Amino acid sequence: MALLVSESLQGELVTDNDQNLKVGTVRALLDAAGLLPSPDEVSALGKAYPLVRAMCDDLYAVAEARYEIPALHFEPRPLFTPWAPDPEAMNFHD
Amino acid sequence: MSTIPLSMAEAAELLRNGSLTSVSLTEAALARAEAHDKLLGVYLARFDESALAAAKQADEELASGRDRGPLHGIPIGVKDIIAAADGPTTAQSLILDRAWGAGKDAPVVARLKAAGAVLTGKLTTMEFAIGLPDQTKPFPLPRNPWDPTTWPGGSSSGTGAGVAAGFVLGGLGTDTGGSIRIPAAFCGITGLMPTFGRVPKSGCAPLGYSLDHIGPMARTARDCADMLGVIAGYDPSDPDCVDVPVDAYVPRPGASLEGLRIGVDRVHHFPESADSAVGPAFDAAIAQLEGCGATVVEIELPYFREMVAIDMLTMFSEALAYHMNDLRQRWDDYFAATRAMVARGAFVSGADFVQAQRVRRVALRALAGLYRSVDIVATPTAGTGAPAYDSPELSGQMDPERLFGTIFTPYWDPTGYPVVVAPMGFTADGLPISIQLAARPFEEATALATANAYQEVTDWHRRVPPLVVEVDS
Repeated sequence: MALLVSESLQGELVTDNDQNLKVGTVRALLDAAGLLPSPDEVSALGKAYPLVRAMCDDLYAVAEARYEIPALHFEPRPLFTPWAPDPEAMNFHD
Repeated sequence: MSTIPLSMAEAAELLRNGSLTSVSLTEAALARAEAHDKLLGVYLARFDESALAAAKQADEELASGRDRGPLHGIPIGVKDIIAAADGPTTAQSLILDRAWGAGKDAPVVARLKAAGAVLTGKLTTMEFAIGLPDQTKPFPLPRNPWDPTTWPGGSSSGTGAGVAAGFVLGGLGTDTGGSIRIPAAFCGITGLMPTFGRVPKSGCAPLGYSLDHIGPMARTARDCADMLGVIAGYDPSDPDCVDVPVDAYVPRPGASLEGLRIGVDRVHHFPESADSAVGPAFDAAIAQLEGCGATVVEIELPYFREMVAIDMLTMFSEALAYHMNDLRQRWDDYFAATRAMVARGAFVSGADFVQAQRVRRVALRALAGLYRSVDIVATPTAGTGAPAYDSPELSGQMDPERLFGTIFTPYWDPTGYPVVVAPMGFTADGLPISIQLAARPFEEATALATANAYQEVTDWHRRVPPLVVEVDS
């Protein structure tokens, strides 16, 4: 689904140095998150990393978002209930 | 003649005129699964005993004049990330604690049971609805009934393959980037992603909290309408669920599309890599819709590339939050493609996530503007038929960028708009291809009526895989 992004990045994925740098960055990010993939997986994620970063960076280029608020919703009142509540716990309705 | 009618509506009629019983229908569906599920990998768990008991009860109730509606006595299945009291929920994963949801029905499952539907079992998915099948893990490999060397699509793989093969007449899927619409398209059936908040998603293992939708998959738009009428509606257990009235979704037979304005986006949906059958089939489908009375205009979906990115980035982030502790402790227990996808969330910062939600609102404003001049947006669902398991898209390391290069579903998930997909033809290899019809929020009835009108003048949705024809003969 990020093909449009990946097409614009083909030229970036050419040098070993670039790839090593990306793999190093990826390893650092995964380490920081406490994730421990195999070397092969780190290498594969190193190839995905520029595409994910390009997707993120493209979003900062949307001028119309400059004064936009995020599509996040927060409801301070606890209006929702657990799903399929334990019947025992529902006795307060009696 | 088969004892399994093609559609739920046809089965409902036969159940009421006395030429079919729910028990015989359920037995036939279970027998078909018994014969072919080793090949197709539809079921993770079958509930034969409770299904037949529910079918017997349905027969007794219908005989006594108690009619619970169009799903009464109809065999269905549920994707195994949605809890049902009949058995554990696995999310097709070694990770999910089997105590989660044990003995409880998710609200959608409770509603289906209350409507008299016969739950035959839990259906295969991709692990936690993300990634790809992994043959090294102890779960069935779902296969496409149209060609078992191909993928049925995902992540609601079992529901798509199960409906196409006639193991069930309908079922539930979930959609975060296309997981209802992709398997519906690849398996030649109809699927509906409802408006975000239209159907409660509590009792469903999450993938992307702000993107997840539960919806129906069945052979026809009419059947999807019947299912939506049962599962839609507010439930206080889902904070995203919206308390708005449930519409009458069942389309009026023979209704014209006069006055309906359909926008067609050709800009983003016809890559060079598309199958050569898709363009002509889509043009023919649009002509059919015009023949039904609709007006067609060319449009371009706003912020297309950005919304596809927002779907991905939001899903990676929300999924990583849910899975972080388990990934740290049990990395190898996850499917390889699941961990490859979810780990991408580590590349997305908190600021990136918020920026994605800001641009998401910008795109929603633009989309609302577009919908002032159209009522439906039509596109192909995907640019190809189902890929083969040994294709580059599905073998080796998970490569979503490649896999989704010709799948056009993810744009719609962050919009929250309702989208119906319906079969519109076949590739030269005999694999189904599909049209996607998106309506305004909470206008599922418009999308379903459009798909129903199309299905009244075409028969793509009534074609069945050779495997089913073989069984019936």
